Amino acid sequence: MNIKFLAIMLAVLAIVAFSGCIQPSEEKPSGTPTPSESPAKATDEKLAEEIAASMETPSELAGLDELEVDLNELEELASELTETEDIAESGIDESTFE
Amino acid sequence: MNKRVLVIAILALILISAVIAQPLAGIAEKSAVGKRLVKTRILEKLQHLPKEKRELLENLKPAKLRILNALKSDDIKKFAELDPKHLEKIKKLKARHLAKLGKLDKQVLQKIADLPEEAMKKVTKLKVARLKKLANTKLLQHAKQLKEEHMWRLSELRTDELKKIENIDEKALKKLAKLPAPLLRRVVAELPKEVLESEELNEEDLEKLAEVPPEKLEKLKGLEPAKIKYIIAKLPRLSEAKRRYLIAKERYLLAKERYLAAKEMFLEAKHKMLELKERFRQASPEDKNKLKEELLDHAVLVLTHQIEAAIDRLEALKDKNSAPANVDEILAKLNSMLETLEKEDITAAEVVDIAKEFRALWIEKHKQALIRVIKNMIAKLERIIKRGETLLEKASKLIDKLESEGLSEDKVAKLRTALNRFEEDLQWIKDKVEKAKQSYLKLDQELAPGEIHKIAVKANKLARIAHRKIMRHYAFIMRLAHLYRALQHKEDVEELMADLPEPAEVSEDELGEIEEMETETEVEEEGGAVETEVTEEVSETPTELEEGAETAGGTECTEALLEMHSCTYDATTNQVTVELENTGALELVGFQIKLEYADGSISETESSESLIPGGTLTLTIESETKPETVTVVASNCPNISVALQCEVISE
Repeated sequence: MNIKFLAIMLAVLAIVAFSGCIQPSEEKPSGTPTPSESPAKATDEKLAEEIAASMETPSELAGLDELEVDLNELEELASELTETEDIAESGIDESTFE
Repeated sequence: MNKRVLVIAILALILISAVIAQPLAGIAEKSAVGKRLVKTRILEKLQHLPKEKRELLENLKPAKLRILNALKSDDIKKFAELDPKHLEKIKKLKARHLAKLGKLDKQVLQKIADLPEEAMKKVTKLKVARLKKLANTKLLQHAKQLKEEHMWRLSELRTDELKKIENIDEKALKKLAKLPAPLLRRVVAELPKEVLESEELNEEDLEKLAEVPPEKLEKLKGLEPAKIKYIIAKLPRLSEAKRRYLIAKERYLLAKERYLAAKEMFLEAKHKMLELKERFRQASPEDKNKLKEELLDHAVLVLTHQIEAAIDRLEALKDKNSAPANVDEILAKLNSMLETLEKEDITAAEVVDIAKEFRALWIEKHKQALIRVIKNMIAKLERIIKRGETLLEKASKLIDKLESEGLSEDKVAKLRTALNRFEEDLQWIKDKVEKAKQSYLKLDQELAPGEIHKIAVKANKLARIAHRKIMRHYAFIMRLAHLYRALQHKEDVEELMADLPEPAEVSEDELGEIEEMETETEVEEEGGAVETEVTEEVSETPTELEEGAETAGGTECTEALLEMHSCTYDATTNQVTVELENTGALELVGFQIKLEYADGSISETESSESLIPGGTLTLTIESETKPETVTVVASNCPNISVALQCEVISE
């Protein structure tokens, strides 16, 4: 009886221990490097900073985007001015069918 | 006696009704002649067809029958060879889109006919060359799920770029097609297919990637999409101003393209009609009747394309806030004219009336539109000058900052000298714009159409000079930004200090053209009246047949398409090499090449080379430094142009 009890206890303990081993690991949010990837993460951080720096515009020059937009719109308006009224003339009048 | 009166009265009534009925019957017969003859002519061309198909074509509306009748026999056969279910769908297209299909070869027509009805309606709004380009890939199959502007953006890609994405899944394709054209092109050209297809990256991520400088993108594109996402999360989003502008520009280009396509169809139809008119004049009396009906059909086609072109132009102007007043009423008027032209029994007198009415309306509205564009242009120039002033003030503060960051005294002095020159240059532009404004403020409704066109041409020149100059200002300010960045990262600034951008120069001729306008204004102010050289309505419009002859070569530009596969700069030989391919169906003769440099300067050259459909051409241009962008415009089709950023292949 005692042996039986011991065997059951051992079996229960084995199950508990085994289930503990296979507990699912904590889910990581997509795209976030794991701690083991920290050197890679540092490289990524460095690259991100490098790219961000290359795209940075000093605050003194804020408004360049708007100037670029205005310049492009000026070009479009200028191209409208070369349009002639040549679609006015169809060449159709009373003499056409006479 | 009474009976006699009654009999006489009855006889008189019979006689009168006979007299009245005769011409009425004549009119009825005459009015039916047009339609009958169109059908008869079509049937003559289609008599070999099975009854089912013949009936389908016979039942087309008169406007569409006229379109079909104007096609060559071989082109009609292409339609006739389609299945009845395809013809049933094609019948529902607008007349102008049906005319476009007539220009496609059999295989492309079949692919389009295979599309669901709604998709077919969408793609036939695109110009012929774009349709052909898309039909050569599997992308046409996605037309049902994509919007018209999405299809337009995709057709902006080069053939090899289209091939790269033709097999990607529809979800990824939809994501790509939502990007404005220049961004779409950059990501498709630069990123591997796996990155483009990745579900990790959304539309905003792709927009960010499209803005990353080339050398940095090179480092990014080899990474896994998840890593790319992690890195670009730290990058700034595309500015709202730029996004709005890119979308507005696309809408404008699409509307303008529709107008140019409609205008070419009009000029083509007009040319054919003028030839027919000449044949009609010289025809024998017995041939005249038949020719008159044919001439009437062609005249209706000419007016239809003419009015459609006008509608498209007004829509394009509406997008630019430059349409004449009451534009919706004008559009309604034009649409009612189109309805009249759709009538089966339209008469020659009605056609002449519409032609006259349209001419008067268009000359007036075109003039109003030009005045509005000129006024908008001046307002835009004033805004640009204000922005330029603010930026130059900020640039001055930035030079102070560069000084405090340790930039040497001589370099700071060099930058200040350059800044002074740009300030003087901006003042020059300001003075010219102010003088021009005084001249343009006199614009009123009394000006003859030819006169307004003359002023518009001058205003265009002023805008182009101001644009060129301000671009140099922009380049100078960007150089300061690069210097600041370099100093902050402890990089060498020697190269950035060499060849600083300078104000753009204006040639004697250009100056003369602007000053001529100022002088005219002053004469007007002093004398109270100005003698105008141009008083005719359209000073440069050739006579009917001359114009027909002149436009014959240009009427097929809807068939033209050009691609630039590469642009490279070899610093050892100082040569720019561009690889071109004619992907349209029209030979391109001569090219204008514009090189745009980082400092805003522009150099232009020409080539007399020709490029046959399907052919490739390599152009080599001498250049001391690397241009940022090269633009190539086909000389015989000025609306056909391609631009590409240049890469250095050797330092």
